[in-house]
Amino acid sequence: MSERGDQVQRLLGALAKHADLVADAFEGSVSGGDKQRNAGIEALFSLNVLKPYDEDSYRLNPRLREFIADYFVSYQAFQALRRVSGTMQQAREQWRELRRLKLAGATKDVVRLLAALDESIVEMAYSIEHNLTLLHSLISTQYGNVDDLNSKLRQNRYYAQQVKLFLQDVEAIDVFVDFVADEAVAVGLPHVRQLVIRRLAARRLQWTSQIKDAQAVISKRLFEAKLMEVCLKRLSRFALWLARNKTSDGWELLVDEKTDVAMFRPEGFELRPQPDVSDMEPTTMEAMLAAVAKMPNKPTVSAAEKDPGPQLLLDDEADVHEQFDIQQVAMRELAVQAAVATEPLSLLAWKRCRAELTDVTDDAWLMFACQQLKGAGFRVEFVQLFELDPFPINERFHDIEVRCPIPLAA
Amino acid sequence: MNAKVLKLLLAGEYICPVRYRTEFDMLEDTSEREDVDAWLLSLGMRLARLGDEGAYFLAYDYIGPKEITQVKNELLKFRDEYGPAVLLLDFIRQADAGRVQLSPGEYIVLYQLEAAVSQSSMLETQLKSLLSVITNAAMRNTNHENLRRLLDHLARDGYVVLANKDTGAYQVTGKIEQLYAVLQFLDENKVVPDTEVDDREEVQDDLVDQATGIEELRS
Repeated sequence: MSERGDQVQRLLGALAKHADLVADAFEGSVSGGDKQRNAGIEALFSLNVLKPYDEDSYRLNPRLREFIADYFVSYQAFQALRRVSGTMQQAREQWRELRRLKLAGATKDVVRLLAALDESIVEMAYSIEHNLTLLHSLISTQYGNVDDLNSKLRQNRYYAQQVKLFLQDVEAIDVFVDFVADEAVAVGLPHVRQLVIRRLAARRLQWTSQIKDAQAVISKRLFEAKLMEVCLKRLSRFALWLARNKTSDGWELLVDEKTDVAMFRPEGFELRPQPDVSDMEPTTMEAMLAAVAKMPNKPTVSAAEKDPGPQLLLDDEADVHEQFDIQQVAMRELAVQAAVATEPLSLLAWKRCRAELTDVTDDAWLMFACQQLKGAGFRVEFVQLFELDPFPINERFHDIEVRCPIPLAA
Repeated sequence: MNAKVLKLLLAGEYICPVRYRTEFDMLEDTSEREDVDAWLLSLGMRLARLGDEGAYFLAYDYIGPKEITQVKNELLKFRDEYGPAVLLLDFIRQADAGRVQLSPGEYIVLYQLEAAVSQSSMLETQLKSLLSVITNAAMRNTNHENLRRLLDHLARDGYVVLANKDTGAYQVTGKIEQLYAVLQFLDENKVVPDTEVDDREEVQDDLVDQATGIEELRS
């Protein structure tokens, strides 16, 4: 970004920062108020955006106002069309100087003059376009910037004169273009010829045609309405209102039940007949089957896993069948046998005779059976090894014998 | 009682002789009209008419606060609700194609509009300014295409109907009278100063007076 571009950005930034003040100033003059407003006015004043108008009263820079008015196609009454002749005279002088500099060989100045000439030509074209926009706006709103008929008529006459001068200006452009185009070839600046032809000559016919159209409309516009019917007059008037009041949407009016019924637009009732699926009539059935066939397949959606949450097991104890493991079953059998046995039973020997106890180790079996039988009142006796141990700490045994319980004394 | 008539009414259509000739003729029969009216009454609605001889439409049997609020909102949003139709119809009026008066039954011919626009850069500029209002219109389109879309826009809103596709002739429907009724209501409430219309009448009088005066002087 060049330094100049940076400055432009800053200027536009300041305008954006105080956009509310600029908008106020476009409507009329602005005055100071609170501290913030005063600071804004001061900032805009220092940038020449606001110009002093009266005591504590500022107006928008006319050039900026013109730019905004152009954008909004909003024009003052009797606003003069922009004259092109002044800019054309300027361009003519620039061209003369440019030609002289070219002959003198001042290349640097030639480039400068060329840019200035280009700017003048662009300005001429812009002025013409602006004038046409202004004319179109005024005519299409029937000089909507004034309400009084006499003012409208005077504006009509004024613009009839203005358009004549405007047409003269545009026709004078032809002479200017011919003059510059011929000399540009002779001097050796063919791109200048191209410039004036492309920017001006090529569009002159179109401009002339548009100006003549506007001229014709101006002369008859205000008088054509006399043939309008009442409805068309209203239509025209409200169309004008819409064109002239772009920021207004409508009116708040009193409406009651006595208002013309035509004002109440009917709302459509949405009708959606449902098929009778119980109707077995072949035509209906076929239509329904055809409709079903067109339907997409039901998407298979996997059911989302739900948290089962806390559960309560309700169980009837009557139905519970106790499951005994093999040791307990074997223990019962052993108890029965031991109860009737006359001789002591070796637990180890008894275990080895039972195939289902193969997986149970001897030690575990002895510990389990011993405790169970003791609890049940059987007499148990540890079968010890006879080993000579000088310091016996534990009495070592390798089997247990069980006998029937001692009968209780009567 | 004709089902099509009922469906059209329930859909909010305006049954005029231009758009729904058969159904309109049915409703012209008194007994049919009474039957329809009686049927609608059970829905809290009734059959109404625009003016004395205009299109039939569905009206509320009882105007309640909801309906009043709806109309108030429509008037508050006049630019959105009625603005496009007003602007587009006024453009057709200005084009003056075939001296159209925009009354129900009148024809608007696309090629006449196009000819009017091609002969006046003013109209062309005005058409371009309406592009934002016309559905599907675009700057890159030809005038013919944009004008066709302008008429299609009005047709979608029910103000005109395509009468002949080959000739591009559209016919103004009876619904336009609803728009005129709204404008009349607004006029009665003097929302827009009527200087424009009065001005023209004054001008006309002035000119007539002037012309009469000149004739008197000559004689």
